[in-house]
Amino acid sequence: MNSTPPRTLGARASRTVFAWLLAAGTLTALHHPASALPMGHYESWMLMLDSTPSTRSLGVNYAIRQTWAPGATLRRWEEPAAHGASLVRESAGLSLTHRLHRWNLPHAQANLWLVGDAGQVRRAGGHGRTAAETGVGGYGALAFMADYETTRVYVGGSVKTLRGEGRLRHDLARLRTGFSFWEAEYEGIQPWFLVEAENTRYSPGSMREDSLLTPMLRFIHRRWFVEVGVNREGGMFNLMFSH
Amino acid sequence: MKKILSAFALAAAGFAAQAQAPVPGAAVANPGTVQFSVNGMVCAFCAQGIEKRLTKMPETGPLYINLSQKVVAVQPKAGMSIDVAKVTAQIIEAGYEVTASQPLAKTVASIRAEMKKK
Repeated sequence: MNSTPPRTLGARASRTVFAWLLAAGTLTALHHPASALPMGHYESWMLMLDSTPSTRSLGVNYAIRQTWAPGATLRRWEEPAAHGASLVRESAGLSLTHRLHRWNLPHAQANLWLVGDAGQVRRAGGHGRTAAETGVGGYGALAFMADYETTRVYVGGSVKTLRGEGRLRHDLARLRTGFSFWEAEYEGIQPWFLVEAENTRYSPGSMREDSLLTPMLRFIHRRWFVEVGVNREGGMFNLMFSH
Repeated sequence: MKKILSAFALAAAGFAAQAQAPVPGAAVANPGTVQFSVNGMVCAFCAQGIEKRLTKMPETGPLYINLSQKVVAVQPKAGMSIDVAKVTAQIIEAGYEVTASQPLAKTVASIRAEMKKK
């Protein structure tokens, strides 16, 4: 059954809006670095930008096999501390994404992923009394991700843990769920509404834990995947491009 | 006598060839399209890998992907044919599952038009 409700925007107008969102998001991402989804199809490149008020990452990988994609990742995050102070950390590392399993169902797809990266992390200043602290050390991170999707419904979650020298810790748990406004044709733009719940644990000495709820819009058009949202801390942007 | 018979045979063959040659602009009797039923195609961002792999194949002409109907229709270029096993392998390499394939005596354009009406 393929029923397509009338759209509120014409195809050309939708593409124009999509292009502006992409431009705005890209500028935002360049100004505030960013993180996103795991890997593309076999023999494809994937570029991922992810930006939230406290965490930004930039990643790229190449699928050398159907289920393996090595790459690199840059990450920057801010750890809130007591009395208005904060600590900024920046990391650069090599990554490896592995699709543990995929279920291709008649009307859905589900996946399990494992993503690891390791490299160097440095304390890049901050605000308040922690600003003077600097240092460089190694780190390792591991993330487990799962998703289930139909043409109208999406549920996805991830749990990431990062450990580094000097009792560094940055653990992140995310859950996203939402629906598509309509079932778009393959060549069309498909808009979604999702809500993400995120919980972050920081290093000892920082504010221990923080939670955020972010409503967002997702737009998919062929090789482009864009999410924009807003929460109590500010705007959120996620971009993926596959080639 | 032999020469006359040969001439008649050649003329008959020539008329037969002309009769079979397609009139410019007329519909091709069987374009050789094959339609594949594919599991797991739920969004264009994911399924564009299928398009990328199939368009790299030398015999692939027009291509149509319908996410809601879960089908991929592949029409070969003129004078070529679709190797079902090779196309199936490419769709699997893209990360999907092919559950069925069927030849269709239709062009991709007509399949697209029919599915849009549904």
